[in-house]
Amino acid sequence: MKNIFRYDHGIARLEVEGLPDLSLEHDQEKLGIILSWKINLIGFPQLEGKKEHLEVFVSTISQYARHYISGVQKTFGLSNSLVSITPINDRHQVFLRSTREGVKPLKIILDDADLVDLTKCFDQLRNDPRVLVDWKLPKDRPLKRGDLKLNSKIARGFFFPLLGCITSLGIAIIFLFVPIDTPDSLIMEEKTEIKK
Amino acid sequence: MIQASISNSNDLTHFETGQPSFENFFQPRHFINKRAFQKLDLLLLAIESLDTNASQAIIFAINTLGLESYFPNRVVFWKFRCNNPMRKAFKIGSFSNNSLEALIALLSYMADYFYPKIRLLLSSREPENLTIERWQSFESRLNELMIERFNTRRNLVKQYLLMEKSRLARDLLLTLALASGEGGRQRLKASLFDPVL
Repeated sequence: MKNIFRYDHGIARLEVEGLPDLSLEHDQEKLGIILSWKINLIGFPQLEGKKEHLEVFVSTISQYARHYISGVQKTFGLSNSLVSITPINDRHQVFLRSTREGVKPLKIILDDADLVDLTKCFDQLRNDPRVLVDWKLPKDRPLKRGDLKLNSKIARGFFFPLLGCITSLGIAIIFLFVPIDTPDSLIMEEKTEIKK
Repeated sequence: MIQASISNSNDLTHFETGQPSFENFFQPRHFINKRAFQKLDLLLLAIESLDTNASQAIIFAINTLGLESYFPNRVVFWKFRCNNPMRKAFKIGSFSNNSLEALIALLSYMADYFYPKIRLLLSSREPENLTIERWQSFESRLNELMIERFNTRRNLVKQYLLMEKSRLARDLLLTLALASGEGGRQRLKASLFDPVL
């Protein structure tokens, strides 16, 4: 009764094993409950886990890809979350942390082609009409202004004019406190005027 | 080869019925910013740089996907691309959301079609000398097409031409790769409605 669905793309092969959710009247060929999954990335150790792990994995990679296509390259996933991905010098460093105690986090470094293969493999799973799992995955939507590089760009645009203004103001203040030397001839003239 | 792959994909079926489906974020025309056209045209240019016959393949794909109602001939397609402000023949033309959606679908399809070639360029596992040769060929063709079609007096084009070629080429190819297929189409569509910087 178990269903096994396979998704292949380039170096990635994802296998999801599960059952139809009969309480929701799923057909036999559907998948409503995920029992296990495993992913093989050529050149890397096999990864496997439960539904929760897969959900976090898919969510993190999808969000990373969504931001990347908008030109935003940033880390997704916290240092203690199950999956995190960081851009490093034209590569993508993925950290996978096990929920089992004593298991060290696994670090894999993907190149651009590997990242696309993995993303497209997850895309296939997300768009498979046979998979009726209630995912909590973020939908692809336009980014918010705060997500874009807007802030850093504005900051860069304002930095140098602001620095210039502060420097000019500082120099002006310094000159205000510098005593002005009066020439001796002027002092003499002043004294003679007073005598008169 | 295109026919073979379209028969396997069901991601564009809504075009066959002539009733494109829009997500609620798909904004009315006046919300579509010029950067969206810029991005789409640059991606098409990247596809044309990948293969010398890509222009023919694009026209063939338009017919295969049933998008003739949006792009009945090369001239209409070219006019649509001229919405890109970087073009020599830039002109704000009339377009519908459906035709924009059709272009996104076409781009995703073409990216999927040329994905093996894109992958060869993006992969670090390929022999280094071959990779360098492929990149040089791609970058020089991209540069030629940019100079040929874009208004090089515009600051925006100058910025692109002054950019490090490998960086621009890599960004375009990675965007194309991530825009391929059904999931990629959704990603690309969403990215076109990002706020303008």
